[in-house]
Amino acid sequence: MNVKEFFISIVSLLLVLAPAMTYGKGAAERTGRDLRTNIQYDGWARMIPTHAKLQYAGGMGLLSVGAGWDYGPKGQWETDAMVGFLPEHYADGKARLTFTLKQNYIPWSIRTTRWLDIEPLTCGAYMNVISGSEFWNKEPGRYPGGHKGYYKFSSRTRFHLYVGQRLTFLTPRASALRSITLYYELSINDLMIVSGVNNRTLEFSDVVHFSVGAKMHLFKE
Amino acid sequence: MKSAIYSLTLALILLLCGCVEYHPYDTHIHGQRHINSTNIARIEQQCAERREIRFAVVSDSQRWYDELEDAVEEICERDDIDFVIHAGDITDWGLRSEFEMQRDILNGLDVPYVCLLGNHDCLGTGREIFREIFGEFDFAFTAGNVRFVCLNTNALEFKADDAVPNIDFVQAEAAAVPSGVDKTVVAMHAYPRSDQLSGDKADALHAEMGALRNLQFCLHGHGHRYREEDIYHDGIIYYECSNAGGEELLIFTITEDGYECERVFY
Repeated sequence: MNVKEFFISIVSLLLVLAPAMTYGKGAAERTGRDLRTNIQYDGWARMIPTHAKLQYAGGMGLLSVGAGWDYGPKGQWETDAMVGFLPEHYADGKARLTFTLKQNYIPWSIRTTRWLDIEPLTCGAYMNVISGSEFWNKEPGRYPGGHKGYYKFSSRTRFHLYVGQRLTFLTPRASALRSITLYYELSINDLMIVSGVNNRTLEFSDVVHFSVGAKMHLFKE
Repeated sequence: MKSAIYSLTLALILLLCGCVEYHPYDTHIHGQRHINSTNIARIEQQCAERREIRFAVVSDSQRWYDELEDAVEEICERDDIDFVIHAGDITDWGLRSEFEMQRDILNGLDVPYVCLLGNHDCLGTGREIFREIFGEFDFAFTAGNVRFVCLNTNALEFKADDAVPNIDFVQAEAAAVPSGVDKTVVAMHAYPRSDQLSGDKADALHAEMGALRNLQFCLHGHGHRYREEDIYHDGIIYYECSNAGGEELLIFTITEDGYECERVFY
């Protein structure tokens, strides 16, 4: 997929979502606005995660599960800790685990109906570490180069940047599950940023990757 | 409304699932595999019975995608090249996507090519991705009356008991020379007495290469600049091909009378 195709797909996404934004007018009292409220725990109870997540792909394994915390007056900020699984079929005959620390920012939310919020932009960064003896953070001692290093990078740790969009399905008020959010992200890692900026021949789809996921927002009581 | 969202989501996933990545080092390879064996069959067929061949050498194209593409264009503009040897370091970090992107650029060549394993290609799961996309680390093929012995010389990337460089392979090549072969060229990534191929290992390899049929010269990459050096003072020249970033490739012509090395800047 090149940049042009990417924009076509984003535009078609918005075209399909546009009717959704007007659909709820009248059906719910207040739509078209950001109606998120962040009901927080108090004191030490803030250590309890506010949501669980499941993600497919994104450089953190075939499938990742995790938990995280919402904060900010409207819950615009999220921090997640995730564990990913890369089956042996995709990892040179040895199954791997990956560990991710992820920071998300969701600036806006639009209430469309009583049960659906659209979050038109999410962005963030994450750090991923993979298990396995062939990866290292610090080069093994056999390499020359002293403190300057030989390869001068970490094969174990990657940093990713992403942008994405979300749909949040609100559940009835009494439910322990406050909402389910489906999201997709387009992410790029540190090494591909370095490669991409120096090479006109690399296409958008060569360096940017697609992932999808779900967030289960848990009610505090 | 619900169905619109579901079908949209599904369509989006289908549209984009081509560019999903489980991990930069996953071995979930997209596109063509077993390049070397496929291309060797083409080289051997196209050059069969020939007494004169001409091939190009490119090397160390890691992260120099634009320059590799320029090299491919340069080679395509000429119609006198029989095949291309990439002397290793296709990738900078051994990532799957690097191998795939470089392979896709090299597939733009109108002649067959083979790739050698470079030390950077061994990082992470890189060597297994290389094996899957390109093939074995030590391999040989015949072009006309010349045998090409391509060796993995990245000893620093392998364990002591992994047999790198593979002396047994060189001995087997010396013992069983295919019919019609009059001379030999050895290709490798790291050169003797470099940080990857230490003195004792390099000396043992060079000594063993003496048993190959009528060795003409050696070629390698790794040093990122053109060099020609008679490392062992025995008349066997080691030619170093510049990195792709140096925008230079080598063209060798092997005839009945000897051989010629031409430096081409692009």
